[in-house]
Amino acid sequence: MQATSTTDTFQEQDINYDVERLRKWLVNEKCCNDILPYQEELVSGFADLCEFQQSLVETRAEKDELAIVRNLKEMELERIRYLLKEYLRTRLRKIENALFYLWRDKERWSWLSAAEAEYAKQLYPLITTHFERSFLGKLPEKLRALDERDGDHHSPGNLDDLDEFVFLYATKEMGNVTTDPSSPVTSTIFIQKGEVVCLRYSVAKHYLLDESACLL
Amino acid sequence: MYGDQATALVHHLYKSSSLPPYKEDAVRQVVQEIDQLYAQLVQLLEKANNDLSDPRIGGTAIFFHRVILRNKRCVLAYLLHRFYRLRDSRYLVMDDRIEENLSASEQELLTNYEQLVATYSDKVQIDISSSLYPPRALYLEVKVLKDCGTIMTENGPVHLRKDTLHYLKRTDIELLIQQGYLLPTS
Repeated sequence: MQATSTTDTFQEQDINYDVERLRKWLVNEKCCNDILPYQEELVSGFADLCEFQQSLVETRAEKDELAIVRNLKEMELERIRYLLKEYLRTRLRKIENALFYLWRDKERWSWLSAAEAEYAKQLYPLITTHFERSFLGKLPEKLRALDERDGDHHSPGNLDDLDEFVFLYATKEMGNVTTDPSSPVTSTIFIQKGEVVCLRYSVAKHYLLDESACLL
Repeated sequence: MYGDQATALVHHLYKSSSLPPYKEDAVRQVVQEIDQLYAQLVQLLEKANNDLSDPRIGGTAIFFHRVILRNKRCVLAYLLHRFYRLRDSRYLVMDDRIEENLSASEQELLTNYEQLVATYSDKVQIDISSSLYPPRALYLEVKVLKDCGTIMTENGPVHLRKDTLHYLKRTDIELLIQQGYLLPTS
């Protein structure tokens, strides 16, 4: 697989760098409650490469390539396909879980792909119709609203705690990091490349987005 | 006591690990309780001319309102979490009994949901319903649990008769494993 973009010259030379990036974004998605930005370039690049590699494997098969070599190539292809599909599945599952929250907070939609946004738009009426058929439609008219707040002012379907603690692996030197910006006492730690730290997600998020760290 | 039915509904789902039968009667009873509470609330407000300055009236009205909201939230949580379990069951080996436990509305929701996932897969041109687990080998040894006729593989047609063992390419038989026709033995 060819690398497409990176800031690290050494990593650019590594032909599997994008596979590693995809794996990291998958783990990042799995390890936090937030929905991270969709990696359009990575996903579409891999989808095209997988198709190309598949056609290559089939062509070589006709040219009597050794069965073991062909099997290894196919196996590698399957593994990459799995990563790709699992990445998309994980994001869809998070969108489903945070559907009502997303519906209220339209700013978040910019982090979804066009297909995901369309998916969320179509899923919302499916679920609300199910609620109406099964329950809400049988209530007095004034009680049928879905987004009614309860006495604690919580709307249903909020994202879980976005300020949870997460384990972060520094892929580059992160420098001085303020561990809790909301605290009146400023506390900073110096994080070097290769170190593993436990931080609040709100602090870690910035480093995830610029790919100087990944979640564990 | 007010709210008991709704709590029991949520608890019933919480206690079971799979998807238990839909409790239509319990949902109906919660709806009746909400209707009754709402009627009492309206009656109280009419009697007081919407003046809630008297703490006895205001307190009672708030109590009725909070119980209504709590009941409503419990039933919605019940329905939503059943949907999550239903969605997750798609990725496991489909059990025929799961379909028996669904309400008519849930069956319709499941059909529409599957269509939605298929539309998404078409749009991104990646079938997300396959490759559910990290692949460990290209080929799998499987036992046929139910007759599934003849399937086409790249090495030619294979007849899958009940209680026979086969060594087949994983991608050719993944769907049959998901549907419970084949059982991987290796």
